[in-house]
Amino acid sequence: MWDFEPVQQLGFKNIYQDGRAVGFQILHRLPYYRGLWLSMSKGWSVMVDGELFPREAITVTLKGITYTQDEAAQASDVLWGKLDPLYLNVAKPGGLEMGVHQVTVNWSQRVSYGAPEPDAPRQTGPADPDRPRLLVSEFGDGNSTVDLVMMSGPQL
Amino acid sequence: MRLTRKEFLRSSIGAAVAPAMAAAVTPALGAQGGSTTPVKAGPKRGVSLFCYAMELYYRKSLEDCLAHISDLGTPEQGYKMGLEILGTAHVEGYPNPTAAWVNNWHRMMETYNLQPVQFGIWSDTKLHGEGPTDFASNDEILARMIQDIRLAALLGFTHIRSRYGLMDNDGGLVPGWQEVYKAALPVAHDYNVRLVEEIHHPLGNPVVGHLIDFIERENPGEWFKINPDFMIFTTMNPPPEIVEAFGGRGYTPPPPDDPSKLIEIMPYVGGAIHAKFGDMTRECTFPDADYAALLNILKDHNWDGYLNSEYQGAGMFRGESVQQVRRHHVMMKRLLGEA
Repeated sequence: MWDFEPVQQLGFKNIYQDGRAVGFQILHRLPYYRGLWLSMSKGWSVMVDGELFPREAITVTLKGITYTQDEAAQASDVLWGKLDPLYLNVAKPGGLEMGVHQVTVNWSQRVSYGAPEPDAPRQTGPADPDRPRLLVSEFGDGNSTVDLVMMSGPQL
Repeated sequence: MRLTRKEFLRSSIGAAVAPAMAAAVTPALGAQGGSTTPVKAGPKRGVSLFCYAMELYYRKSLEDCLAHISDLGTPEQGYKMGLEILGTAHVEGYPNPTAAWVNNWHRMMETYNLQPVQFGIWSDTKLHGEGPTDFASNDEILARMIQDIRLAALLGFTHIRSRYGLMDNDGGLVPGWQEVYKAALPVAHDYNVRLVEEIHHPLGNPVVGHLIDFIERENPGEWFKINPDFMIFTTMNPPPEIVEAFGGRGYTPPPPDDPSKLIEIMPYVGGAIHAKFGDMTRECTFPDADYAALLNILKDHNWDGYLNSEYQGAGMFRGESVQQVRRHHVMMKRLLGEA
C-alpha cells in the first residue's frame, strides 16, 4: 500500500548514465479520491533542499511511457489511476547526495465539477515547503513536503 | 448504437473478459449487467466506497473495505448489502481491467454477499482545458459513457451514477447534453444498466428543472432517472478539504430544502440514492438532516432501491470513516425497522 503523503519514500533514486547521476526520480501517487485522465493535471513542480526545479527540467513516467509536461497535458487517453505510480524525472547533473533531503512536490488539476475557469492558471504553482498544504491527501491540489532518504550517491 | 451480446464480446472489454466467461465464474455477466435479483422490496442499505477514501490503499485494501460493508448486514435482512464504487478510483486498470481482476471482483461480490448497485462515472468536460472552448466534444463524452456502461455491466452493476458536465448551478449544462443521453440510453437498455443523474440542492435550481423536462419529453422509463443526493436536505457544512476538492472554492452551500420537497421529485427518483451524511453522534443520530422524514417519504411512495451511504464528515480526516459508516447504518436500520 501507499505511504499516506503523495510523495513516496519508495522509488526515490538518482538516475545514472554511465555510472554518474544525471538527475533523480521521485514517486508521486495521485492525491485525489478518484483516478484522473493525465491531461487533467496542470503539472508538477519540485523543490529539493531549497532548490526549485523548473517545469522544463521535470518529465513524468506513467505506465512505462515518459512525457514532457506539455505532452502530459495532451494525454487525454491515459488514466492515472489510484494505484498507478507516477515517476517524476528531474534533471540535475550530479544528482543528489546520499542521505536525507527535504522534498516538496506541488501538483494541481482541473476539477471537473463547476463552472469553467478561463482565467485559471494552466500550470501548477511553484513547489514551496513553507506553504502548508491546504488540503490533505485524497482531496486535491497543493504542496506535499516529505523528508526523503536517498540511498546512493552521485556516482556508482 | 445498440450492441448485441456478440458485439459486446468482440469489444475490447468483452475480449478482456472472454476467458473469464469461459471459466464460468462471472454469473452476473450472463444477464449483461445488473440483473435485479428478487429481494425484499423497499428501501435497502448500501455504501459508497467513497466513504473510505482516506483509508483505501493506505490502511485498507479494496477487499478490506468490502468486508466492512458486508459486516453491516445480516443474513436475515432479506437483501444483500448494496455497493457503490467510483469507476476511475476502484477498478484497477480502468477502463480495461484484466480478466483476472474481473474474476476476482466477482469472487469478492460472492464472498461478501454484496450487490453491485451503483457505478459512479464522470463526464470530464475539462479533459483538454479550462476555458469553454476547450471542452471535450460530446462525441468524446458519449464514447466514454458507453465504455462506462459496458464496464458497469461487466461488473454486475444495476445503475450508473452520472454527472454530466455541470457548468454552474444557474442552469448551465454543457450544450447538447440531451443528445449524449439520448444516444447513450439505448446502450444502457441493452446492457441492463440504469442511468441516474446525481442532483444537488436546491431542488428549485434550473438544472433539476432541465433534467425533469428531459424525462418528461423523452419518457426514458427506468433507464434515466435522478439520484437526489441527501446533501439537499442537510444543514451540514462539509469540511473545507472536501468543498475545495469538488471545485467549490469560496462556495457557501445554500440553505437546505425541507424534506417534503422530496415528494415533488419522487416520480423521477431512480433506484439508487446518495444517503449523504456527516459526523454522527455517539447515539447514532445525525442532527443535520431529518432522515426519519426522508425515509418515511420513500416508504410512503413505495420506493424500491438502495440508499448508499456517502460520508463527508470531518471525521474521515481523523481515521473515523469505518466507525461513522457503522453509526449511519445503525440509524438507518432503526428507521427502516430492521432488527
